[in-house]
Amino acid sequence: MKSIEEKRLLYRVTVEGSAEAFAGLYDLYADPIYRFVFLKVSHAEAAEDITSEVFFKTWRYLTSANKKGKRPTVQSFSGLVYQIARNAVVDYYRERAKDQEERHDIIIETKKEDAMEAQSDIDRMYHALRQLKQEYQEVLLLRYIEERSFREIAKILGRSEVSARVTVYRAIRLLKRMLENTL
Amino acid sequence: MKISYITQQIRSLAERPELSPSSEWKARNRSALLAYHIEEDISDNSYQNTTLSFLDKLTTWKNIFVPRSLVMAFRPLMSILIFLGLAVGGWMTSASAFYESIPGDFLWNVKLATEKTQIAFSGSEEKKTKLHVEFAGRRADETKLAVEQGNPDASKRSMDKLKESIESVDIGIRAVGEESPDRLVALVKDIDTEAQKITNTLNEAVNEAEQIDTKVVKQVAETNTFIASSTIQAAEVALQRVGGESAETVKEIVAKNIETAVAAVNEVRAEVNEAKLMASTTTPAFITSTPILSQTTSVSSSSLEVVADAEKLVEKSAVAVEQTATAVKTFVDNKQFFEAIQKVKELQALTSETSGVIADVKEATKPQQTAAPVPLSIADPAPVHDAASPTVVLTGSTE
Repeated sequence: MKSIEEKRLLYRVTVEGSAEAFAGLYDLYADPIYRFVFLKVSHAEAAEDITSEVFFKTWRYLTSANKKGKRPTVQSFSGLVYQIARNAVVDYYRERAKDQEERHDIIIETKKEDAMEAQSDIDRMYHALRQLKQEYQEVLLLRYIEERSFREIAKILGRSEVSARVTVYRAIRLLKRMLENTL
Repeated sequence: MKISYITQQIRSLAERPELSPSSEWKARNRSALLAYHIEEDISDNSYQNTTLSFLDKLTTWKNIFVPRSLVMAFRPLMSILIFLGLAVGGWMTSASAFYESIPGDFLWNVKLATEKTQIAFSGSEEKKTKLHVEFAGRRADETKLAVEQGNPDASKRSMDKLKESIESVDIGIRAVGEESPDRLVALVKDIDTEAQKITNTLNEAVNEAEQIDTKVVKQVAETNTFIASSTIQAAEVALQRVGGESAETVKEIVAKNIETAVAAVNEVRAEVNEAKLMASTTTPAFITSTPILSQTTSVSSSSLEVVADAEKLVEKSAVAVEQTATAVKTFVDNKQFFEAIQKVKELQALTSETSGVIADVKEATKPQQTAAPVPLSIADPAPVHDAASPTVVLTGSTE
């Protein structure tokens, strides 16, 4: 049902340029996109700025028209918004690379460690996850945190369903190995 | 460590507060996005000026709601069904609406899709080329309909598609030359006949139109040149490939095309004289208010500049056309067909260019009908070119 609602909102934005419908899409995707970005930049303010930019760029893209007055062909909002988010993160790092010193200013916001063992496991998991390459981080986030199907992951990443499955499997195995080594 | 434990741990990461944006920021950002960026963008952006046609909306709906796999699976089936429906079905009404559809109509896109299918299913290069010629003819008919309906956008799109078909014919001719050279001469002959019909249709579109945009006149002239150039190019390809009796047939086609090109020069010559006459009479002295006829012939100062520039161009083009036409005749007399063909191509381009200039002159010297004579007023802000002639009235742009 969520998917149908999402498609309906996407249709209204594309055809009618409805800001109200776009607000509906924002409500559906603000959290996932923020998470997706935060996992890559590890900085709350940067994640907020990038997320804002992602939604504005998405709006502009959906309501833009080419010289012939044709709208872009968009089949899935999730595919588009994640793609824009990925590009925005790349741009962010490109900007930061200009000033190497800034790299050391990255503040990783972590909650104070809890005395409980389970919390400690989650921390280890979080740090291990962040050690993975971007592609693996993305698939694990989409699969287990956003609970997306392999078909959806494939659409978002622009690859086949089989390839999405294989990537998730490899990411999990690598994560497992990393966690076992830290124990 | 079990995989299930790991996946469970990853899921629980969602609960980490830093992995979720604060609800306050979310709400603030939502408001800012809507109130500032989007609202501002709506007022600036061109999207509100872009009206989507029914077909665009339908395509968007299909893209969003219908899975791509389903579209891909059904596309060949739909094309075959449409093709069979039109080929087998004898519903004259729908067939008529189908064939008379012009760019902008939903059925026009269906028609193009059907044609693509027909080409895809036709076996040999020769059949494909013949189909491209046939479809070029359809585009010419559509252009005529669009001109009759006063729809310059549709006529332009039809002519663009017509050119695409002609380009495919060019490619097809070369392929047939490779595949079955024995069929080449007959094909070139067919193309020549059909090209003549297409040119006639386009000329009728211009000549029979009650009102026609100068741009459309120019587009028709360009398209005709494109067709004539492709036809003679087809003959050139054939001439390179065949010998003996067949070559003689091709030479006849070339000679006929040369005659047509030279005849076009004569027409242009007559039009040049007419345009020069128009240009020379469109002087301030001519542009007078004629209250007796209850009409005013008025031409803007910018139109006068167009006329002056065009007159020079017309004269220059006329000289070039004459020189090229003479060169063509010389080559034909010396049986230098390839050289003659090259010159004919130049001649076609020149006559097309001259026709465009003539169209500009006609447009600039076209009298404007007004309901009542424009009264002379000393306070009239329009520039008065001839102070000695108080009846001269120059109004704003005629466009």
